[in-house]
Amino acid sequence: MENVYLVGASLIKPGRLYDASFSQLAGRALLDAWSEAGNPEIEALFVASSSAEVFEKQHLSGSYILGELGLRHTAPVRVEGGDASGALAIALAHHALVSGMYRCVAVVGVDKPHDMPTTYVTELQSMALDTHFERHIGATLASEAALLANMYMKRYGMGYEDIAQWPINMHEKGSKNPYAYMRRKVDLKSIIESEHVAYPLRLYDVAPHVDGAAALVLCNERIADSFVKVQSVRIAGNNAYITERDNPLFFDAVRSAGVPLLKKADGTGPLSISVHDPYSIIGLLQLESLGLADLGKAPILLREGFFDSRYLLNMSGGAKARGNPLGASSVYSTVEVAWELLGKAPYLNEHVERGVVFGIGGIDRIGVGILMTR
Amino acid sequence: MEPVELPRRGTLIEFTVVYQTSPQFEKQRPLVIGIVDLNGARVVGQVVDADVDRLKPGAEMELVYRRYFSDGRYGIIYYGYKFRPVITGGHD
Repeated sequence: MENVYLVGASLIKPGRLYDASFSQLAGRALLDAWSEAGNPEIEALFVASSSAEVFEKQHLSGSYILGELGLRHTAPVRVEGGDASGALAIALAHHALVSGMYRCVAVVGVDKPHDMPTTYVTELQSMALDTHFERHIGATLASEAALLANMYMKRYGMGYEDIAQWPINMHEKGSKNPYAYMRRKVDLKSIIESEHVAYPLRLYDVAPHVDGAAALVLCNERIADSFVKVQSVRIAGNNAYITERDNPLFFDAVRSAGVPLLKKADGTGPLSISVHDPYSIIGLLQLESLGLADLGKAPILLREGFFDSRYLLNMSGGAKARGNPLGASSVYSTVEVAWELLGKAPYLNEHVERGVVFGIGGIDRIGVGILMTR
Repeated sequence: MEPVELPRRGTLIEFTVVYQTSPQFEKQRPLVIGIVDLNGARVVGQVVDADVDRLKPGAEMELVYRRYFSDGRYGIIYYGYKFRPVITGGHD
């Protein structure tokens, strides 16, 4: 079993990035991460994206991205796991290095939702649902998140203002992150007055789609001056429909992937935690499924400052404020948390010892965790 | 595993009103998406012919055969099940 080190990390400020193609954007992020790592030989590239084949109409995207780098003999590996594509690619890269098969590999997460009209992005995200029994009949990912939000409020006697704690908290953090797409705080009034996307979820409950690319270079030697150790990764699945789960408000895949990693991360010193939040309720339910909050308590604890006093939670502002680059999301989160560990995150002065990044695809169809230490 | 025919009547468990849809459903916006319990089997489906302001979980629903969307003027028309509230005291 080899150790795995993150020796290069970069991200492109997300937004509406019309000046670069899908491959060019990925190439830019990779060049930065690769150069930071000292340009070691990259033996394999893991490409995380949720839209390459659908929006770009591009198969073998790894091969075309490698063309941007002039790397002719690197193994191109395409990885899809919805919004968890990035975490899945990092986990697979980790497996490849742990096995000793490769010495250095790269991971890139890239998606360009702004190349398409919003309805097509809605459809793309709905592809994380069952294509026949959910997407085809008109259900969207947002609609299932909304159903969960309704169930949650009813079960625990909450109001919409409780769910709205999530965007308030994320925007507060995003306002300090120069790489965030949304760099302003929001108050409850603006959230409540925003339009419904899927009742009860409003515009502010939905992470804005952004174009973006982020990249990592991982090696099983500490070849760079500054590095982070990728201690452990876990991938878990859940193939039950939300309608047939014993408790649809508890994410089993997130729990299976996350709880063992949080146990390993247990110790002294600040712990950074990143959860993917395409919708407010998905962020809140993950905190409960990971055992960080009792069931039905996450919004109250968030409002009372419990998470922020105990952990560094989504310090970049999460997908809500940084933006949701779909399949690239967890690569963004991993770069952000690695920067926090290295003391390079421009939005954080705190000394971070350990970091965990969680990726979620669909409504808990896949959960992936990544544990990093200094 | 063997196929089981589900009852055509059931109970509404939860629903949402969806304002952002895929391109195929744009003309039908907003869509009502619900979870309906058909004697223990819970399925996701569109709810139609309902007054959303009066619709509540627990309502009795029945399955109807409806058009989902069509591929332009000459393409395939996709049909399938949707749900509508059972109107008590009315006729079928």
